[in-house]
Amino acid sequence: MLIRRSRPNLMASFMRFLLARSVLASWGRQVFWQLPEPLRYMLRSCVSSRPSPPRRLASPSDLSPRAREIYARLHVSLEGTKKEEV
Amino acid sequence: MRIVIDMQGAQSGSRTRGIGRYSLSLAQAIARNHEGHEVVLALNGLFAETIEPLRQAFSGLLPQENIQVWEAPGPVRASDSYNQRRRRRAEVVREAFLASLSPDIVHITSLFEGFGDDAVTSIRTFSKAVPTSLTLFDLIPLHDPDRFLAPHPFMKSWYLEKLEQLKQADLLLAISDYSVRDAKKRLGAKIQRIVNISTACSEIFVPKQLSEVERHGLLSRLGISGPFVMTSGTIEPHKNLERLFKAFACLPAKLRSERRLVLIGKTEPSQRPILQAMRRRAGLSVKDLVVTGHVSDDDLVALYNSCELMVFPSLDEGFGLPALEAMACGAPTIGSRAASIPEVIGCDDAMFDPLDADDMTRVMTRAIMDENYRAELKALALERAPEFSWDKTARCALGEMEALIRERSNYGTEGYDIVSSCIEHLAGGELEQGEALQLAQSLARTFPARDHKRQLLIDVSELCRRDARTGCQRVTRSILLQWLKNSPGDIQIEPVYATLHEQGYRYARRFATGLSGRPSAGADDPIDYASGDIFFGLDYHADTAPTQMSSLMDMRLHGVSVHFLVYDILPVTKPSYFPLGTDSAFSRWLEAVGHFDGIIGISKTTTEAVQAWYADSEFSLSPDYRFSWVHLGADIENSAPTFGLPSDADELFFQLRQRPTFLMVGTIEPRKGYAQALAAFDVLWTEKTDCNLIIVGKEGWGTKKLVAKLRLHPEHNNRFFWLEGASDEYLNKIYASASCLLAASEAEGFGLPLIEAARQKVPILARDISVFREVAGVHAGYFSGSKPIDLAESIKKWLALYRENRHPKSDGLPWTTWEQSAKQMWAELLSRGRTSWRSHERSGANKVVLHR
Repeated sequence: MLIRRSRPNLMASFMRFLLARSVLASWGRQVFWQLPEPLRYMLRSCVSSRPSPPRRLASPSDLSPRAREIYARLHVSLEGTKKEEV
Repeated sequence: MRIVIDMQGAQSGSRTRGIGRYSLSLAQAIARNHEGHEVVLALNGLFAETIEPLRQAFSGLLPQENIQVWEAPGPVRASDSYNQRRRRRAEVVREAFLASLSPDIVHITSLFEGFGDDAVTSIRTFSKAVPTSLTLFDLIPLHDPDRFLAPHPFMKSWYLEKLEQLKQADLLLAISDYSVRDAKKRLGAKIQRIVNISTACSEIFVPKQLSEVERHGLLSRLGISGPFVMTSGTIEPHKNLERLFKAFACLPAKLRSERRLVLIGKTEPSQRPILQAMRRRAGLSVKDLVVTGHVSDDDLVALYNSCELMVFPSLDEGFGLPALEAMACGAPTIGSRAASIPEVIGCDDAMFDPLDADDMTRVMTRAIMDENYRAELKALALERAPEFSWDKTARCALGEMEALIRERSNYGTEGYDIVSSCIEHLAGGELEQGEALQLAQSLARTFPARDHKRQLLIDVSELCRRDARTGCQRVTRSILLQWLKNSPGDIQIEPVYATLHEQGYRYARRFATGLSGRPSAGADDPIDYASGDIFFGLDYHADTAPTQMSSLMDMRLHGVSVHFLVYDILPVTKPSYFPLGTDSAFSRWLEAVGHFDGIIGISKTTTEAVQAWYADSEFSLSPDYRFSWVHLGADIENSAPTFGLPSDADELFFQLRQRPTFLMVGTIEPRKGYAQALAAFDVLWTEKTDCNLIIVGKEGWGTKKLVAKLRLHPEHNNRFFWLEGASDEYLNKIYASASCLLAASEAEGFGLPLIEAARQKVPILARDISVFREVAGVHAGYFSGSKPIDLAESIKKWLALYRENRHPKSDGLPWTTWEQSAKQMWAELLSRGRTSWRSHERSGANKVVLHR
């Protein structure tokens, strides 16, 4: 019983943690960019300039216009394959 | 004839081996001997790290736009069956790319690539009719398939598939007569046309007189003592090293004890125990055999020039390049009477039976003991080596290609759009969404849109996020505005930006709409780019370039030239003027910028300071790195100015008219000289010198005490004024009311206030620093000294001259407008950009018949 009751609580806590983390990160970014440049230098120099992570290709909106146009032409077959599988 | 050379032989894992050297040297020789033919290199973008070195290797031989890059999603190595579908797609992309370059012939530098890395080679799996030639090195794996092909489950099928593709080639350019004979024997009538174009060694292999110090340094570094016999090779059985070890062990005891056997060649750590076991079996002690591993080219030349004898005992070779390299250095060389080696050595007396260790011992002993014989071998080497030359090999290859094209003229039919066919072909296969997205991105980079207009991509990452109205941002705004207003029709001006939380740039179209007031040209999409585009880091932001290195490198490898504007490098030359950590952030930025194509400084002084910084930090810039400088504009009204005057403006102007007014413009920062200036005016006011001081500039950093002093100064709003938020319109009017611009800054990148003042004919009193001398020349008065009294005295002298109208006038100071400045910058960038490949497209070029 204990386990069954605690599972949803754990999940909810975890979801709240994720939400809070994302909100804080977003807020932090906004605040960071409002700081005067010298202060940003100081903060950035505390952590070395690490390369930005690669752009995630999750949907066509992550593509450039030319790539999106090509994707649309590739996608015709993708849709076709899915329908056949269904 | 347009010859497209697939350079993967010089990009793949083979690039450090003989195949890589051969591929690069042959392509360079073809480029050198092209005789009216057009040479285009095709590079695989999956070997990104090899692209810049290859571009450098062809600098001066080929225009950069003749080096084209294609890419497909990886990994694609054939040894992993999971890659199979990706590999097949990559083959289609590569063949379509090669066909899209409208070649008369495609030459493949090495077909047997891509088993253990991301090389992709195929012939006619997609494009059916492009005449194709390839370099045939050897078919050694067929000589002993159990050993070479059996160990890996996929190796055999992969090799056999490559053999089938080899039979599709229209022309095989073999590296020796032996390779020709061997291919004919094993593949018979299935090959279409085969010819020996021979080979050569690099021009670095020449006889060289080493000083005793050089020789001793080299040998002690590599652990070699005394005279030595040299060989090169790997532990592969056909290199016949074990028999050489035995032959060396059988040398007369005195000869053997006095000399070492030195083995040169890449040895994996896992191969060392095998090599040591071979040594033990042969009866050699640890000190008898020196294994150097891979050595640099310089060391290799020195070793060939230092050895007593070079022995090449191989049982099977496509050519035997090490023997030729040694001979070119004048080393006495003996080798096996097998495979292609007699073609190289060319003298039966210098050869032995490679299966007979005693014979090997006999010839080695003779070469060591018999001075005359060794002299003959040396003379033979120096006489024989020049018969092999890359130019000769390249001319032979070109002749064979020309003959093939004459026979196959008009090989295709017109009407196919190769890129559309490629996309249709790929769309026909199984494709998951993630794969389709990756593939679409690669295809977009490989095949830019037919109507892709050349772009000038202008980085405004900082300005489009926030306009802090700093000097850098005024420049960014002004130049960008001019380019948006006056761009020539054949180039698309595109402001772009990047963020720190993802790689890649986006079009800053919302920002551009806001700045220019023109209707929106679209959304802030990720950018497209193509060969011939130019990226210009106009806006300064310390972190953007270092964190976007990967995407900037990607652009560059696809033929986009990448340049940056440098405002100053004061954070590294005068770090004490800036907040803690600024210098390290700025150094990182300079290092990042140094990896690309060049900089434009805003003054000659700044540009020279950047050059000096790179020289001092021993940063390795590309030999083609460009430095130049362009002065900035003086017309504030053309820099997207801010407007508005406060209600008490007239009162201020009244005050300014009462006595001579000295104006200082700039952020309140330690380097700007405000503290010295204020103290100097305190001296003047105490001495009853009647004059005004007005400062226009926001509070910056590191000046808390000074700012408090400014706010509470007894002359505040009497003879001293500080305007923290003046609009550009207000500033313009203040310039007009000032008697003198006081430029007291101790260090600057340019000195914009000087030309802004000169434009309104306001006289200038400036600190004597090189950049102010560069900008104002004889049209300003100068002061030096860091004490308040130094400046006070200079101001008094200046005022005395002013009263007599003998002060230095700024009327003749040459200043540029933002329009002129933007035009100069534009011309400089265009002179640096690579020509777009599309301008090389041939009308009526051969179109390709596609495999359906």
